[in-house]
Amino acid sequence: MASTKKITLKSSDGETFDVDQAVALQSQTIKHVIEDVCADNGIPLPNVTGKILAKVIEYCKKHVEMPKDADDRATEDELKAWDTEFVKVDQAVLFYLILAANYLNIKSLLSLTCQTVADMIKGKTPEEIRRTFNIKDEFTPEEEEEVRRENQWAFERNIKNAEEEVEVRRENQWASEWAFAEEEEVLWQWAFE
Amino acid sequence: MRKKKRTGRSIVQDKNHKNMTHMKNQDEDHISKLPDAILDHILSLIPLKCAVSTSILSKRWKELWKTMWADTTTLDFCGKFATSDQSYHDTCDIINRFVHSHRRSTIDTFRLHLDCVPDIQEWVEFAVEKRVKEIDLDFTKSMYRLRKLPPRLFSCDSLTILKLSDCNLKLPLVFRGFSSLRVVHLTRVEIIQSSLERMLVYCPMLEDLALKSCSDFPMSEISAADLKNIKSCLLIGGCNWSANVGSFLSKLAHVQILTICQMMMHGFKVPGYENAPGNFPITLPDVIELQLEVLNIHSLSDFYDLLTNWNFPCLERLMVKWSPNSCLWSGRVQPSGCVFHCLKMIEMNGFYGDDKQMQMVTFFLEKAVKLDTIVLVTPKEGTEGYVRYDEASFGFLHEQLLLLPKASRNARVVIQEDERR
Repeated sequence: MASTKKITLKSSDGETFDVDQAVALQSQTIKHVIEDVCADNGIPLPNVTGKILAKVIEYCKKHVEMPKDADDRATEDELKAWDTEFVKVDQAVLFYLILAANYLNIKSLLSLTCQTVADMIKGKTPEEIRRTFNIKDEFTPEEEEEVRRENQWAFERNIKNAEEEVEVRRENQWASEWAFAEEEEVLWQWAFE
Repeated sequence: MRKKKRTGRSIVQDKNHKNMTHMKNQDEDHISKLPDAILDHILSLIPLKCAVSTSILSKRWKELWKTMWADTTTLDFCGKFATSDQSYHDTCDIINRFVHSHRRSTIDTFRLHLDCVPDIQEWVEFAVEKRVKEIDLDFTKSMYRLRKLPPRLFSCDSLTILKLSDCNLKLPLVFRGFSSLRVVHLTRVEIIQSSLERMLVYCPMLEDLALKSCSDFPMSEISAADLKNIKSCLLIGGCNWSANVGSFLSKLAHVQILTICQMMMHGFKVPGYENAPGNFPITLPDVIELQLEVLNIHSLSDFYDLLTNWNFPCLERLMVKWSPNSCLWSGRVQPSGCVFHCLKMIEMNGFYGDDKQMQMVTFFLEKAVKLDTIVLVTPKEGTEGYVRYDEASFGFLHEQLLLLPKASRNARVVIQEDERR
């Protein structure tokens, strides 16, 4: 009578988790295993540790309860807020979540975690990125110079101060409008020649 | 380096060893260990300029952005694409180079936030040909506006999101509309002739409309049927709009989230219904969230008029932003309006406890019978209107708030400082 069939998932370090089928099916990988193979003895997941699998299951549970395509903006916003809190974890955990989401083929979790990393990279200089992620700088000064030269524009800084920009715009607005008027005049003259 | 075998449960060891392992974890370069395909995906989520700059991070990263580029569905050209003052030519050259080396046959997003205004016709054609879904053109940072949008833009069937900033919008004479357009955000756009109206009439799937400081406002040619799918509407600025706002809003029959800022709201008074609360001529039955701004004493009076003359039966969340120095406004306003049966959460920004603000808090505590929380956000240190409370006056204010009569027994009043960056 109960349509809530349970699936057993086994992590790489021997922990087992019993989850509702609907929750487990959020993973395309697990879905294929259930369809193709008899999964009564539980599904082994050799690439995911217990700690990470617990987090993944937490995510899937939440996203089954509150489906994303609800028409209600309020539910959407609530889910987004929950997602934001969910990814506030150690870098190590975040990257293991990415690998798990990739292996288990959970598109929305992969999207969420990759976007989180992208947001950590955005707006930073290469030096800042190296510091954030502990990336070792292995280039010799000559090699580094060559890379810089290849795409020099990519290493130029943008205008930092937002207020500065708006001021520049306002100051020049009259100039651009006037210039536009002049251009129109010229066009008209040509038309009548 | 000795590789430590991972186990699910943490091994209880002596404190020093645990600290050392923890530190080693902190120093690891996790990101470079991700497979190429995932790193490509991550790089496709950041602006191109930043992605190219990752080529200098390490040998692993040197060529990653190139594989990302050939296959990416997001083309994000944000920033300065030149090294010299020859912005215009350098930018064109570099963007052309990228556009021509892109291999994939379809793209999702085409974003252009430049500090100059080159000829974007070819790039827009390229994007439209690749069935782009989102186009985002922003010339805020440049000295000039984009005076003419390429005509090809208006025949893009696949478009679902259109965002324009600092451009001139002029629809071509023949415009069949965007059959899948769901989102339109216009910022400082000069709207020529009746372009915006025609856009609204010919884009039946539109759900999300935002007009920030634009030059024109839709007039009476639009009917409620044209706007029936709009769920979210945001209007900021433009003083010459006021007369039409009320009429426009009354046609948004199914709007759920409504935001109105930097505008005088006297378009909301409906003649003949001034003193008849409960007798609402205009009902917006689906509104669950309302965000309004109180600019001055007239604005405050309009605010209460809105609540008296319009009916929002399902309103759950209300955000009110106060202009600084309301204690200096001369005049008195009597709060009016009816009982709110669904209102659960109220947020007031720019709160510093003066009598008009306390009057509003009292009013809502009285009228919102299902209220959960009122959040009073004090301005950040250094902003206009900032008041530093000493312990005593803060305590007194808090006490006063707690003593106010509440229609909803569980209602909480919370004071907090502005946490936004």
